[in-house]
Amino acid sequence: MSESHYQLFSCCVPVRGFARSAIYDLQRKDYWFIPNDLCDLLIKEKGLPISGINEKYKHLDIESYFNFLFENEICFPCRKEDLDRFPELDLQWNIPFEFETAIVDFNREPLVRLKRIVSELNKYAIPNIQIRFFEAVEEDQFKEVLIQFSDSNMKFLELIVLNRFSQEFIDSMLHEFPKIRLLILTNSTKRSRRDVEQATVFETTEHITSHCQCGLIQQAQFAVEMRTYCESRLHNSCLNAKVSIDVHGNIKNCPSMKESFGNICDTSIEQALQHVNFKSMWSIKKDDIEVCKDCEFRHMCSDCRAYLKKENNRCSQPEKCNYNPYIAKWKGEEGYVPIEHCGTYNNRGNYIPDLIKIKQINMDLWGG
Amino acid sequence: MLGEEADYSTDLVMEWLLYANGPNLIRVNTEDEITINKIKLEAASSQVSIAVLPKHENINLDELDFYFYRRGSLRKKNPYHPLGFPLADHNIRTFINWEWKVCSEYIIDCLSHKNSWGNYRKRVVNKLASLQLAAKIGFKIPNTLVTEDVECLKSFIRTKACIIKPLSDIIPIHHDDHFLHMGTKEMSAPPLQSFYPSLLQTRIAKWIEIRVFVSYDKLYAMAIFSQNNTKTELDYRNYDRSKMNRMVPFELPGKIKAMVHAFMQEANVDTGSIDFILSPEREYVFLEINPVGNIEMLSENCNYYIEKHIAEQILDQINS
Repeated sequence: MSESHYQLFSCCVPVRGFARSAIYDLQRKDYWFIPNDLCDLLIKEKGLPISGINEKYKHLDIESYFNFLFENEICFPCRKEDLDRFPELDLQWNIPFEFETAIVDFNREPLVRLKRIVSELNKYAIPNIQIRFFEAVEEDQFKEVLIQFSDSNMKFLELIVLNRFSQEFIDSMLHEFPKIRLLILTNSTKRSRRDVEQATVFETTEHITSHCQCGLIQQAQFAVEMRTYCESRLHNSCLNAKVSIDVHGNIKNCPSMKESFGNICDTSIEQALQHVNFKSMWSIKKDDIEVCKDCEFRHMCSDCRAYLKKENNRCSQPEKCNYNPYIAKWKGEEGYVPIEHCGTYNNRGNYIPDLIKIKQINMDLWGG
Repeated sequence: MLGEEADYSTDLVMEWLLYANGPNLIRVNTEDEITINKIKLEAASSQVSIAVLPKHENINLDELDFYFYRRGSLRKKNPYHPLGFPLADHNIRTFINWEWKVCSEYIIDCLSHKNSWGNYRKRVVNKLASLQLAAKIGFKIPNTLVTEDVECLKSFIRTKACIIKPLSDIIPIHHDDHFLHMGTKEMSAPPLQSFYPSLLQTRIAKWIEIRVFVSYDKLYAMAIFSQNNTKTELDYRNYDRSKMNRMVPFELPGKIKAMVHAFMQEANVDTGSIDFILSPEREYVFLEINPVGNIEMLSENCNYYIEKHIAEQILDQINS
């Protein structure tokens, strides 16, 4: 009864990419890159003893692979008869809410539709609301918005607003409205971070003047985490359980999307949610998205359905993604070429990778 | 729903109940101040009505359909101001506490007669009794000794490696920045001074630890790989936050599941967390049960959605 086998900890999930793969550590919120042959082996050879794997994969350095896996507590040595005691993660993602996040955008006149918006959102118990002010607002207007939203059912408030307030005013707002958890002050003269009571305040020198600045795919925003992973496997990682109201009051999946499901002035959120297209956007999984489905980052990625490489394909890759999973290079890294150099699009907007060309590029880049 | 203010699992159960358009909920926390409007007992009927401050909610017990007990108790501030006579002051305080205990326990007992989840009277299970019961059910248990006799202790620790741990629940004890850690510790030499009756157990060789949460007929198990980290070897609660112990879903053998349910039935508890050591010989060694133990850790690490299931169990009972 020896520990002749191995078992993956179920919180460590291999995600296969085209050029390389990753193991997501959903418990410790981290990840490792692994070669594809190791990823395939972990997925395919469950239940095979390590000696058998050694036998079958003579061309691979199985010993150093397993040293790596054991050292990082990705796998553990396991007896054959114990293998079944460790089931895979139950992939489920549930929320006790109709939807989970609301984004509300404002331009110059935030108070015009404010009451209507809050009363609509108040019909639901939703935990998170993000409010973005794209133009400067006066202190009293800002405060009025906070008063209205703070009275609502929601739990956490995130704010993005042009920095023209005194620190005193900001602090008094954070004190008065404990639901504020995050405040991003744009157009600041410097970058800074400070924690005030329950909230974090970021100053950024960036100018955020419209929703067009959204949709960037950045490593800094990747999240390796149980809920994110499950959500990404089952739903769209950006739009799922999200309702947005743009600067004109249009109810949308996301303010950057074209399709409006009616204006908040004459349409209820319930009506919008019932529209057949609304929730269908929630179900576009990363595994179904062109290019992303070949990317090892796909289940830690924020995704974007508003700005797409090919507009005629709703499963097209996010336009503002600068990673090429076919050669494992980010834009700016040596040897990077965009995915357009690695394949072509057909007229339906599907991406067809040019396998021969990719192989050639990878040979030049990575050798072997 | 009776719980504690910072009780995340109760928050989640509530959210699931609300989402299901379920019942009207009243949440009472152990931090809340309770006022007794009346407990009126008559031959034909009785009426119990309390108020929760500062929420100003009036609760008429007759109007409640279901009672959820997570943890904590109904509390009231002891209003007594000491007069400066230590013995009398102490006794008067104690007496007033007892007076309140009769009221609060009567109220909770009234609640318990309704359909309910959880049980206040069973929030603590005697550690020694539960070890004995576990052994009767057929679980292995560590050899256990309680003694204040130094010779008795010496002969116990001479033969095998031993650990010492509290008989009762641990409570946080700290002064300024000094924390007294009350977890499980190794016991290799007898203390030099006389000592209070203490619980000693033989140290069990460990493959992994198993945490099981039971909610009536439902059972959830999680494996904790605590043996590879010197910090958590003896007690996984010595969390190494830089490298948390692996905690993953675990499937108990059918026979062990049946024994757990048998244990729960004999112990007359419906909910609780049980700790086992799974020995290198694959024996399930029963350590202890905490009827109001942690739920979140299993629910989150294993993606079990236990709180959702509890809400469903409650709704089933209310609607049946």
